[in-house]
Amino acid sequence: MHRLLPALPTLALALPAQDDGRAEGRALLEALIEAQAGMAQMTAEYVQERTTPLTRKPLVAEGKLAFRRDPGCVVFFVREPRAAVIRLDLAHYEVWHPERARLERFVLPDDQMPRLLFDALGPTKANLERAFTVERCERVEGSETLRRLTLLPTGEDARRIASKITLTTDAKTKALRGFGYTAPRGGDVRVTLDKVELAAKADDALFRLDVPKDAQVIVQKVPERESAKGAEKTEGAKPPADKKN
Amino acid sequence: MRRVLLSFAPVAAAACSTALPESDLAALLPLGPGVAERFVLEVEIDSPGLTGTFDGVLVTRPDPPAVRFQLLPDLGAPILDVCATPEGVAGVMHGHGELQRWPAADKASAPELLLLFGITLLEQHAQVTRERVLAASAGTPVHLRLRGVYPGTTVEKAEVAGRSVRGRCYRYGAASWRDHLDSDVGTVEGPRFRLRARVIAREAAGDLADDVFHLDAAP
Repeated sequence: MHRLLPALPTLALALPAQDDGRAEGRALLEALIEAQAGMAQMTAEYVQERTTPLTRKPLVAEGKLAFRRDPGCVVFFVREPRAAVIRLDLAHYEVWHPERARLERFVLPDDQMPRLLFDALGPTKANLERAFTVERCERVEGSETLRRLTLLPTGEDARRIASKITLTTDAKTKALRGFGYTAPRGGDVRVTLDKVELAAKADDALFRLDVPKDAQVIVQKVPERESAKGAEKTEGAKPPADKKN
Repeated sequence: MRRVLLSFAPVAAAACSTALPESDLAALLPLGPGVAERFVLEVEIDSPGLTGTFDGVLVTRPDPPAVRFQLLPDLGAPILDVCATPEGVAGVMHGHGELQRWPAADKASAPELLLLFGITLLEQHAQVTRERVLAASAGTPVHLRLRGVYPGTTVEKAEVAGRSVRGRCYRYGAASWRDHLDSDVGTVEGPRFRLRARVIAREAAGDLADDVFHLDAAP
């Protein structure tokens, strides 16, 4: 019994925060939206950490990213673990491997995945109200000012891609300092941002993926889901992989 | 006694090449890893369903045999996830795709890419024991014919190098393919696919929970 007693003050302290910081989270989101109101482009250094039920340590990648709000596009200039340029717009996911002189272009079945990312990088009041609910807000361990907001996608299709989304904001500067998501089958993606710079005008050259004429280009279609819900099946669709050279 | 004789008969049948003496075979076996392991890989795939360069994570358990393998694109969560045991293979492609299952059965299933990946990885990371050896031929290298870990699979030729298998030729139903393993690079080649994996990190994984080797439909 005496072992339970020390826990009581902790419980009492926790009572005022019964909403899991949702009110603070909504206020921080509004502040972030206001801070990004005139933003057409964001650039930042990034570190991506991915964990799955199979990993013991995160898979780490780092480089620089550029986000353009309209038309929506994000480009990751990957430095580590291998040089690459990743470009995502509403219709394509492309990866340029310079050392192989190869472009891998995936034609997306819909815009759900890029829209989730774009809404996270450049939230607006309209898309937040349409796409997410604030589930939690917590202080990032080791930081006085960083807060991690957990958002739940409201759309059924979006929830098949991400069961939850996280945004990290700086409560002092109102800047976006990270984002991430959890995949429904397990797998956490967390991206930390540093040296974030906002611009009122986008540099469109950053968002063009110019590859040499003699590069190998592989085009693949990501298949659409064949059923609306997660039913099992015994045979899978095989999309064609077109190769151009 | 009759069962013992039957198990020796295939080795004798390999005598068209020179059969490896039973004592030499006993000294050679078991082959392959005896511990659970975790791998981080750089994977290149060229196939009708998926082509590209990916990060790979693989966990293996030799006894009872089980493997699980995930492919991650440069950005985001896994887009391919496959789990294999002798009881069946389950897998999903393109992240949000539907879970496919191939329960082990007498009749071979259609050779889907995920199924072949599962069979190959399961074989590569299971031990070769005497019970699975159908024939053994002497020479350098020693060649074995094996009953596959996954029911219905035969390893028509396993090339033994030291205490491990360097390459295999597989047959499952009408499908045949092969693999080759060097120190830190492995390739798998079939009629419509090619996979090359380079080991970035490898470690013993005694901490793996059993549920890692189960793949369920998305919640």
